[in-house]
Amino acid sequence: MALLFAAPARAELSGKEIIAKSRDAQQTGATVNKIEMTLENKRGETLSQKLVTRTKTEGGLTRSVTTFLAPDETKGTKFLMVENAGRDDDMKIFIPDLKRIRTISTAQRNQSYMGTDFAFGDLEALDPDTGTHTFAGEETIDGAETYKVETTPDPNSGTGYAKMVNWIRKDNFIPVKTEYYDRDGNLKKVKTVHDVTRQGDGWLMKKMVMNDVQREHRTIIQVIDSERKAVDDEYFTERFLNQTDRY
Amino acid sequence: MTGLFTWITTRPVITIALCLAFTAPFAAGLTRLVADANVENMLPEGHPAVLAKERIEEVFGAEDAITIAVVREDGGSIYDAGTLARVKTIGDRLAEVRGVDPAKVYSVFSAENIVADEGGFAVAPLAEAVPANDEQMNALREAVRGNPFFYGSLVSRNGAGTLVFGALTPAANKAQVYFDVRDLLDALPPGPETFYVTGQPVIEGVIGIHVERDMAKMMPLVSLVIILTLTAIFRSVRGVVLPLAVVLLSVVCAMGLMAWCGIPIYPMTTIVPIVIMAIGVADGIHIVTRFDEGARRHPNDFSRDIARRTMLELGSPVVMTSLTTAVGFLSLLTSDMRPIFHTGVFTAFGVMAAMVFSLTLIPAALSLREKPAVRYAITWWANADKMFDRVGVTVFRRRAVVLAAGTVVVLASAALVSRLNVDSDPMANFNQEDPIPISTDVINRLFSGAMTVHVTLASGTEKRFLEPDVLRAIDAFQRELEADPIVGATASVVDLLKMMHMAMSGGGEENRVVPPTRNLAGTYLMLYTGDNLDKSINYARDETAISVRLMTTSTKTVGRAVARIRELMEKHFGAFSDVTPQVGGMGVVLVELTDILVFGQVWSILLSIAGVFAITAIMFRSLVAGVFNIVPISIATLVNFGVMGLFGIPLEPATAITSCIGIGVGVDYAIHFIAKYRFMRRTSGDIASVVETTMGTAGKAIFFNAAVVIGGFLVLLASEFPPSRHMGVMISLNMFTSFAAAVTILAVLLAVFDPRFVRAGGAPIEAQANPAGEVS
Repeated sequence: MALLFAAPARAELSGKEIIAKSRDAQQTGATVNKIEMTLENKRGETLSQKLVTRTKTEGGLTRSVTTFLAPDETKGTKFLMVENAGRDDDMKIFIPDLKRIRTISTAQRNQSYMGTDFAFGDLEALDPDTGTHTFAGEETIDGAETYKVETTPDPNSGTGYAKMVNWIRKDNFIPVKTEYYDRDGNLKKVKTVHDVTRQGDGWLMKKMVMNDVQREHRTIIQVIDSERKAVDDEYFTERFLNQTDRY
Repeated sequence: MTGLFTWITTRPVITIALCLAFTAPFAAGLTRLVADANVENMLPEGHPAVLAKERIEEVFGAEDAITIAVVREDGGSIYDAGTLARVKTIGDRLAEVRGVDPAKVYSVFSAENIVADEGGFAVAPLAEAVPANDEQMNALREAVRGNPFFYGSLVSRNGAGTLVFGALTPAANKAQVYFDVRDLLDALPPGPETFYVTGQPVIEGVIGIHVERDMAKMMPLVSLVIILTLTAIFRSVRGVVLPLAVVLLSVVCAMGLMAWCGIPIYPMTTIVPIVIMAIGVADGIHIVTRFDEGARRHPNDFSRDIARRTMLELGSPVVMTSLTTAVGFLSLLTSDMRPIFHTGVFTAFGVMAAMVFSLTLIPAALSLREKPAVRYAITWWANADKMFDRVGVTVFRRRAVVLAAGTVVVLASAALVSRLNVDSDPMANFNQEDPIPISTDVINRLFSGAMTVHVTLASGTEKRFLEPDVLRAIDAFQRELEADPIVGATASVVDLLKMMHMAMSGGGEENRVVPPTRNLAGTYLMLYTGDNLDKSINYARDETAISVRLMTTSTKTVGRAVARIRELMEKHFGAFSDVTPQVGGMGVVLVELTDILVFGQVWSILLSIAGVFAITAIMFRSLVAGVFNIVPISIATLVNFGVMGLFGIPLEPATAITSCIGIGVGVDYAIHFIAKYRFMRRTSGDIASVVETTMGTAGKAIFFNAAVVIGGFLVLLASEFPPSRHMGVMISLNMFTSFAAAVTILAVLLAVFDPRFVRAGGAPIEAQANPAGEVS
């Protein structure tokens, strides 16, 4: 309570509240995104992939299906992820040349998504109800005023991080910068978000960069096209995965 | 010269000050000296083998890792809860060692495996925790056996050992990492496991420590030997201090120059100070001896006059013998191996510096005191004349025997030379009981090999290495290569792809095949999230590397393996016009070193002998004289190699320079002997007495000269490096043979052939010698 009177900063919101608002802001409902994903190693060599992702969030659970469009050797590969309440996510992959669907059981949230620097857990918004979130001041990032929040995740969350620091924009509560620290307290990754634009009654993060400073490797996710529109449930089925003529 | 020596002896303080001023800048550089034990730095920069290794590192990442082998030598297996618990602890603690990259510590607990389970495909660590029951333990055992990256590499085939390794960060202090790891292991509670630690960085780190220890140990030791020798000969302050001062200043100049040039000290160049000291002290001995003699005969003369006369007599011989020695070392400049090259340059510089100091510092110091203290010849030193006289008489009388014996020795040596073998094994830098060769041996035996060679395939076409045709060729190449007993294991992107295809096809060994389409290969690589990939293939998929582990560190065996690899490369990849295979890596660097070694050796020897021939022919104004001068050193060189062939001492970088030192230094004995012989022969036709007198005077001087040099080189026996110890013995033997050949075979040849140059013609060298014919 003494903090409210003593602190010069306008700390009206607590860390937890900021994180909660941030999670809401990152909800996308149903979207279809066309994405270019680029992996870059320390020698500057790059590997680019183009994909289209359909996402639908209902009742706090997200489903997504991704189809690879390029390069040509991965074209037609589909990846389906279904979040379940109270148990592990379902992840299935369809590879055209194999003509079959395989279940991937890398259910750990700290596992890399598709060989990128993003772990599965990194792609989700932080849960305000788990771990401790502490307001840590205000800073300006790229000309935008942000709230800085330090998060110590629940040890059972499986993220593998000892600490995260988020810089969340005051105007739209989108986290524009996130630092991830490993168990030894060393900085492991830095995520930055660029080109945040309005989309319907929500926001679109057009560019995300994940820089793994320890591996000296980074991944850039660039949204080329994005539409907020209804996505039919049939996309999130094995039947759709098997349909090689549909993308 | 007269003017110079007059100036020096009348201005001694200034001369001494100038000498010190000359040395000061070099001394200032000494603190910058660093050690370098990096094997690939031994080759010149543009060398193909070095370039290939650098390219591999550039594309696929550097290989430096410290390896800890955990072995159950009590007959147990690592598939045991206690042992695996310790493996886990070691891995965890290794990640905390400063200099170790915590993201790159591998053991069974972090290495990632691809498994196909019922309806599933998983990439998961081989073991996340110590198996809690038999079922889990068996699962682990099966998982290891099913993955060629682990079976025989991470875990030995017999299950008795497993490895924990950690890659080092670029700035790591390698030797310190080794010691921290040893402490880590010592801190563990005792158990049935034995630990072995090795790895290239560790080898280099420890060599670096040995270099420092050698330098700290041997300099004082050789100084001590020299002090004792000088004391035995002179028993006077000037006799001990002056020659010693000359060599110490010379060493400072040579090592200081090395530091200013930014040249590090290699294990081999640790001998540079020793060599300079052992050789440089001889001139001082000659000068002080002559001075003592002059003081005895003219006790009322001023020191500066005696000193001047001494220098006029000895100036030329000092210059000549120093020049021939320097030439011997400069011939090492033909070598492509940097340590050998630098040994040549800096020793030559040190020897010339010793010459300069002998010609300046010594006469100046001798001139400081107005009248010399008169020192009487040590009795045994004086009486030695008679002993050598007798040797001369015998040699002359039995000249036929001497010649016959000499011929036998030469022929026998020539025959033994054919048995010589060349080898350059980094393990040769360590004593056998040293932990590092022992650990390396364990790794060789149990874990498929400590020596890695890489076969890189490059193609101008992007994504070429997704195509099944070339992938199958790689697979066939690996299988055929692994059949060779010297090859421990091979690993490539193909092994990974086969495992992934098996997992994606639902399991079954019949599915462990190269993905049938390039799309599958490409997709698998995209999905693979584990380690190893970066090392095997680049993003453009147009370059890939196959790592081959060899169970040996001997370059001879590696050479054979590399030849076999090249053969198989042609067989399996020759048909692909757009694929270029190449062999590289540490193993190849070492083989190249060996080739350079042999080639460089022959060149150096020919060059030094030619150089010596030229200098002595000019000096004596006779080509025939040049021939006589090179007889003893040629015999000594031949005997040198014969002995190496006889005892199986391999020709390695260290022993390679023995010949050049031997030639440059050994010729001094011939020069002195011939010069004195000619001087005596000019005034007498009685060959027998000429031989006798020469032997009694020059022969004696040569003997003590050789004794001092040999004593100095025997100090190398105290070195931490076996090659340096071998070198100490070989050089000493070489010196001895040169000396023996000079006083026996050379003497007899001169007596028997009585060549013209000893009978007639002007000679500069003894023109100013004492007319009474007295020599020190």
